[in-house]
Amino acid sequence: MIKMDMYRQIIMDNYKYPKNTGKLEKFNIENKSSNISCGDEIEIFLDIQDNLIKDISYLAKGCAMSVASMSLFSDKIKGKSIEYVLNLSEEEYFELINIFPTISRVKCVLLGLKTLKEAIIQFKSQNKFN
Amino acid sequence: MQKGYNYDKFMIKDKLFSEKVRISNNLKKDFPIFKNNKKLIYLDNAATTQKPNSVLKNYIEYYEKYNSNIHRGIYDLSEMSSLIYEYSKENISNFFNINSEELVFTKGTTDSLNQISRMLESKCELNDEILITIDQHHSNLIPWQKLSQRKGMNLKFVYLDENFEIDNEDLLKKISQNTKIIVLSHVSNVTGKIHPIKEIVETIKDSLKIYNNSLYFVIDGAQAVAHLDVDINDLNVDFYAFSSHKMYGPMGIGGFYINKNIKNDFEPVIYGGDAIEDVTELSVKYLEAPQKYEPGTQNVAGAYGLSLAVDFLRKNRKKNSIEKKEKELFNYLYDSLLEIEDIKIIGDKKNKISLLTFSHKKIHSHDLSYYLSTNNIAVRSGMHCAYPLYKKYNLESSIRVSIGCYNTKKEIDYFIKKIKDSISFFNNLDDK
Repeated sequence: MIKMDMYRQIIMDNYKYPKNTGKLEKFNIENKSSNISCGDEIEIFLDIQDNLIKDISYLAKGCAMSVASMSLFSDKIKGKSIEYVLNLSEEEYFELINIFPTISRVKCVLLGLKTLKEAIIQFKSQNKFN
Repeated sequence: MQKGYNYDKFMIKDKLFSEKVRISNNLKKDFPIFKNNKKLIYLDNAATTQKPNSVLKNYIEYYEKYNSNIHRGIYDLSEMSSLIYEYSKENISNFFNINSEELVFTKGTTDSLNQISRMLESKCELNDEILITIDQHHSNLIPWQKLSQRKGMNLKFVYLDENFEIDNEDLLKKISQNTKIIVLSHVSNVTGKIHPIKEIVETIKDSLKIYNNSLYFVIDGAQAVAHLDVDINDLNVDFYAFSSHKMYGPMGIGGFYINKNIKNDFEPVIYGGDAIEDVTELSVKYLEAPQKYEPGTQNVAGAYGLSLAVDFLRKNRKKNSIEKKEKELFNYLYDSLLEIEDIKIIGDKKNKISLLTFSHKKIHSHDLSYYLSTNNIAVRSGMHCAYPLYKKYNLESSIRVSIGCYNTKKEIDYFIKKIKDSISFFNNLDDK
């Protein structure tokens, strides 16, 4: 049964006033990804130092679920290793941000994780000989 | 109909199956989905329609009483199955005012359009042109993209005017002596606009007659068949594709019309049994169309289900004016939505089936439709498998509301109320 419980106050707060938005002054990788069917779009900027996520920011356009998920996620991963993010399963991600979407909203909630993982993979491939 | 069959139509219609096609002022009662989902307000009919009792019960009855493979078994059950299949094909053909030899059964519109694009491949040459309108569903775009890439053809887009109707000036500008295939949708699945196929065909044929081009007109009729009285013969096209499940029939079956003058001109796309006249170690001779395009075991229950859906539409159109009722509901919905602040409907009210698509200036369509779903209202949100249209006209992700024969004014009132409630819900959260 679909209920509005998913739209808790914390999600709406993070949708209306998302944290860590904008473009970092100093970043070494950026990546943009979208759910074209929904029109959701997230562009991520990462400052990665010694394989740790030193800082993160993003620009997000989309539904409450996709924006709020990215906002909550961005707060949780500062200081974490890039391997930690790469190894994060979908279930662990839902636990981490405390959002458990219904099947029709999974794509919205996962967009942040997908965009970030893609950014890290790009970073690793660019820095593999360093 | 396959040659040589002789059957008693009355027997198939009224004696073989127990559930009759009903005509009712309260059509909801004839659709079991509403009995099992009492609060459901179903406004996603463009995605798929619900199915009436006559389609559902007789579909099962076919498997319970007559299931067998058609055309080849020399025994009673197989003969009965063949008769049911051939009768269904003829009944559906009559509905579209075409000859049953011009109807090919497929899995549905997508399957039809993919097959047609492959069939036409041998008729196309380098630098030939495909003319296509921008408001296509992906299923009527990608097959043509791929065909043009395989053959080195040009895929030329015709754009729309400010009301999302086909821009005739643009169309005329883009036809040329290289035009080979013209791809149109009868009704857009995003805007609901009905395109004047017959007039467009005449205009193009007129403009190109000096070149004597061999042209092929391919029409996607998926969104038209449940709402318009489609006389395919009168449209003067070569191919017309449709699905059963969007016209109250079962999923998994549909078909395409192929004009009798060209019906045998193509190599089949799918090969198999029951489509051939003779096979040697190194060669094959096909049967005549449509059988040459229908190899393998056919979906007999699906064909009969579609035939019953056609009867349902035919009878309820005639005695129950469902088109008029849908139109009235649509006008009421359109006007009510227009009064709500920050809502933008794609395209004006003219020349539409009972379908509209809208967005809210501040609230994402997924959030709105999710709110509606918590109130048992089923609508579709997103870009409706028409990304190029959305990109070309900078449209936002939007909600599509599509009305079917069982919807009521009370439901539209409830929908409008819940849209207003959902806007308040998201706006109030904004203020906190």
